[in-house]
Amino acid sequence: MEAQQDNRLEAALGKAVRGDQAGFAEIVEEHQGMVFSIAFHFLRNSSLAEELAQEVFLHLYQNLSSIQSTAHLKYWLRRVTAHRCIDQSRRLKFRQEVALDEVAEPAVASSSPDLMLSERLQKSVASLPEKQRMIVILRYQEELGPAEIAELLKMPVNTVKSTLNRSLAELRKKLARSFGEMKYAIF
Amino acid sequence: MPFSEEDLRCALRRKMPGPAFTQRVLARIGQVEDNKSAQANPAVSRPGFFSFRFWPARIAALAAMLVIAIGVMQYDRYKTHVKQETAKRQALLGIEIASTTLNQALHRALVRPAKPH
Repeated sequence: MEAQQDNRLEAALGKAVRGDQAGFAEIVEEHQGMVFSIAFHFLRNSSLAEELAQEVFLHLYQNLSSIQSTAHLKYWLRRVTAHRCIDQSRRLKFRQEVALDEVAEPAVASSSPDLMLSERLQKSVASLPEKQRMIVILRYQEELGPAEIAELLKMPVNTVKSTLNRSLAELRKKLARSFGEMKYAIF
Repeated sequence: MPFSEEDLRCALRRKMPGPAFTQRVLARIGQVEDNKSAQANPAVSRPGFFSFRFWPARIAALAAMLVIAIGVMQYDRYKTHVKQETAKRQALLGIEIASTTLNQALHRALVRPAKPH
């Protein structure tokens, strides 16, 4: 099944490289969730995430000739999205802080047993510094290993591992503080 | 509040963009391609000399040029006139001075007593 999908994507990539729009559309359909989710979890703003995802695919369209395989395509999309997210966040740092609490969640069917915990976790991840945030997203959304993250972000593997541990500790602290505040607000 | 890695995975699960995202991407690509081709081939997009598109601007420019030309001509005429007036005044003054001098000389000649011989 997976091999079949790989073959289909390989064919779509070949068609897209030759200038076929249908082939490119298939690539976008396949990877839109990945690109949009990285941007959304990083920026916590669906319109900014959509804008960024569109720019990533536009950039891909202009650089299709440099893509060698479907694996390379996936790596390229993750790398470009990660770097653009970090750049965007730096540019909009001031606005981002204001927007964080204002944004509404996009409508998605949730399978999480604890919506409140999930939302608190998302907000806590979004409040991490840029590099830490991206490492956590790549690790837990994209299920990448430290070596893959290190290659993507051009960092030493040990730095990725230590950053990941530090981020988890920070998330625990932030979450404890956030739930503590909520307890005081309720009682 | 403790949480597991599974909770984090759940919180960061993939989300899909709004509907028709692919169509929006393709439309944007089309727009960029159109702009690119228009830039690459400016003769196609640039309106011709007699195009109706820029007529109001052309008429305004022509009117401004006409006003400036008339202004320059008028100023030139005024300068010539001033020069002529100055020359006329100087000529009259010259004639007046010459006339006075001649009159004085004539008067001296006529009223000078005759020398005794």
